[in-house]
Amino acid sequence: MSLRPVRETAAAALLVAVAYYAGANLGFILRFPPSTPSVLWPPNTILTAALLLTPPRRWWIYLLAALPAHLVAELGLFPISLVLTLFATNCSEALIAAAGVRWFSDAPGRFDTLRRVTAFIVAAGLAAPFFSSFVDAAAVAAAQGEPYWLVWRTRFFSNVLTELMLGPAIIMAVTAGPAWVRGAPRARRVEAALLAVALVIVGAWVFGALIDRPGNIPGASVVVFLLPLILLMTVRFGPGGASLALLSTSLIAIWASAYGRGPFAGLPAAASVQALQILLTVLAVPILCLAAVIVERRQATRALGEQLQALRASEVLKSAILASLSSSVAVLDRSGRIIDVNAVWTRDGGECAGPTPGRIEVGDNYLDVWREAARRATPHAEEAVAGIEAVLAGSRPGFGIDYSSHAGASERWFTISVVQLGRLEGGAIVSCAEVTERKRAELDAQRSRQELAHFTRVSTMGELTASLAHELNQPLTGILTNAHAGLRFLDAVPPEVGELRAILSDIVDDDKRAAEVIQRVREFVRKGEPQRVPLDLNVLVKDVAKLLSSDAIIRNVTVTLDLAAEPVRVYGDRVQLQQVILNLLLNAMEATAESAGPDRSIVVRTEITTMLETVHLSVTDAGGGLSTGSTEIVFEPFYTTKPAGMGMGLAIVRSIVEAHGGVVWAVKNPTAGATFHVAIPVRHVPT
Amino acid sequence: MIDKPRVIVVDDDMSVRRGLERLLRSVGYEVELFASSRAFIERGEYERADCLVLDVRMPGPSGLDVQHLLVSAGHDVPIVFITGHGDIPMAVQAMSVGAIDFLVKPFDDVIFLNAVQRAVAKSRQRRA
Repeated sequence: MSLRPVRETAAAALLVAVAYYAGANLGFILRFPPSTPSVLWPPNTILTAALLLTPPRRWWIYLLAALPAHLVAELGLFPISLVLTLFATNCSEALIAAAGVRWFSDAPGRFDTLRRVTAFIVAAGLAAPFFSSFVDAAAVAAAQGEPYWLVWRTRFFSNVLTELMLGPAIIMAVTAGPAWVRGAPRARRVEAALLAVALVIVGAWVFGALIDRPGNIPGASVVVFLLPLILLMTVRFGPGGASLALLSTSLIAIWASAYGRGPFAGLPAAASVQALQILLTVLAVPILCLAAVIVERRQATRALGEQLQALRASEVLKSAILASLSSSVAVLDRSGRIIDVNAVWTRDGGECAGPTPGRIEVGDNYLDVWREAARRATPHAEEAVAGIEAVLAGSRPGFGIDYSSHAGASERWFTISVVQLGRLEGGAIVSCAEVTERKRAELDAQRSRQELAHFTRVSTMGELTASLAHELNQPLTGILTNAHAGLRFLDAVPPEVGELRAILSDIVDDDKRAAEVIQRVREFVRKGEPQRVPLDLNVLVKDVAKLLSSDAIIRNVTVTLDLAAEPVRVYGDRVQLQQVILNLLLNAMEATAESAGPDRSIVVRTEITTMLETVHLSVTDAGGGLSTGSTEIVFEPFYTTKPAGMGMGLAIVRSIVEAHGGVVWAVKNPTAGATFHVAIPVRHVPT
Repeated sequence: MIDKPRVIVVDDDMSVRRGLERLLRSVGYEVELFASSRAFIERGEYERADCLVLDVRMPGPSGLDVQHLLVSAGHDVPIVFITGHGDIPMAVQAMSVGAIDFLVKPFDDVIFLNAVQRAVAKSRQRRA
């Protein structure tokens, strides 16, 4: 622990001790005539203030610090037992006051709300003197032989007045005083000084001279001349001003009474003291409350002003944001009627928001614009109506759609997005922008991808010529041999008609087989728009395996199909997915053919992954495999390890699979070769 | 009466197999068919054939593998190779180990039957 807090606490304790001693002596002085109890008894209030300004775990320090001060002040006057008892009752008053204020108030050291002031008045001003006076009175009565209830009453009123007058003044001086002294503007200092001087002069005049006149109502002059000044200080300087004004007034009144003047000069000494105490107490309670109410009101007004300012700033910000947007933006109410638009919308008439030409303006129903388009069977209109209705009904947070319009000479593309407006009344925000450039770029990219895919398909077929020749050679050989045999059977006498029928039937089958090979190749190199249709991956794998069967034989490789038992349904383009399988299979076959390894088998596997709702294809070979680190790079365009390769095969595979919303990856097998995996979501919605 | 010469055809393509069988039967040969080299090897009794017609490219052991097997085991059966696409080194290799002929599909019936005829003649000559 650092020494600084220790030093500070020690200094504060010393200050409390000195103040306690000074307060006790002041209390002794403020007795008139000297035989009566004090009008004000500051030590208890000084302790109360010290406790209120510190956390309870350090209270013992200040109570202990006050003990020597108490002993020094009182030991000569009373017997030791009484002195100690009085110290105990003084401490108990401070403890009851501090604990009570802490219990009821949310900020024990402040007097700026009615609740905090009330807590102080009730706990410190009333309860603490009330309860602590019983033991005090008993001790004094026993030691000095004075009447019990007289002692109790005297101590009670004296301590009530002291707590109310001195407590807030000390606390305000300690908490707010230093900052005010350092930071208050000159005008405020002058004002405070003038008011203080005025208060002292008027107070001295009211208590010292004026009231003496016979025939005046006691206390009336206080109300007429002094109260306005105290109120003025309260209004201008809040709780601090109020407490200092009250303290000054009390001191002046007591000083006047000590010289036998003041409003109650005519009464017997004890009664005049009590009358003065009651007058000042009654004055203090409403003034302290008033000061708190004034501060509260001022703060509420300021908070309201700040809220209004923030609201205005956010309005300005919102309209600036709306104006700065390059998209057209409109605000809809829950029925779809346009209630506000931004500057861009006004300029363009909301042309991008509607599927047909014509201005859309504030007051129009935006939903009707799309409904009208849907009636004329405009593309995307029905989907848009459903989406906007869902957002307005609150069943969807937002909705977006791209659509084309042939309004002008060329095709233009627009995008709109509709999001819910988070208001109780519902509604939505529509924003729209032209995206023709972006769409064109996308379409261009798609077209080049298709062309590249087509080009690589054609060149793949080029690589497969040997195998295709073999594939066609088989039926051709069958046909030729059978035809020759047929001619020979015709020459026999009689011709063998049964043999001839069987031969012709075999020739027909072979011809069909050759036609199928040609058909498969033609389909594969066909150039066309991609078409997304429901497909069975198993069928595609079998088709490709057939196409490559001769190649496998030529390369001395066996291809095993390990296909899922049920159809592996996927939504996609037939030719493109065939190309994926073909490229992967060719790759595997080339890897196997090049390798000197004993295992010359390739396994093609299909699976349905129900959990992830994807279909899965893998091609495993036992070839040379991948060099470490090349698992990702193999999919890069122009990456190749083959002398005659273009490096496009796997790049095409990846671009096709990704266009189907899927992923492709390669894994080095633990024993030999590599496995290429493709996963495609079953319900990929094509873009 | 002399036994009909026996010709064994090993080819993975059914249509080719059946065409060759008919052609050979039309000129009076007895024909035995195998769809794969493996099936032929497992059957054994290789000497019973007067001529062996072997496809070069087949799943499993190739025609050349079968020739190598027979030669190294001392079975001297005359072989006629047929292939979907021929290349010269392959033909040279086959002929150097004693093949009768090396025919590229599709081939003319006369050429094929001549080759078979030569094989049968060689076989008969050796047995005589």
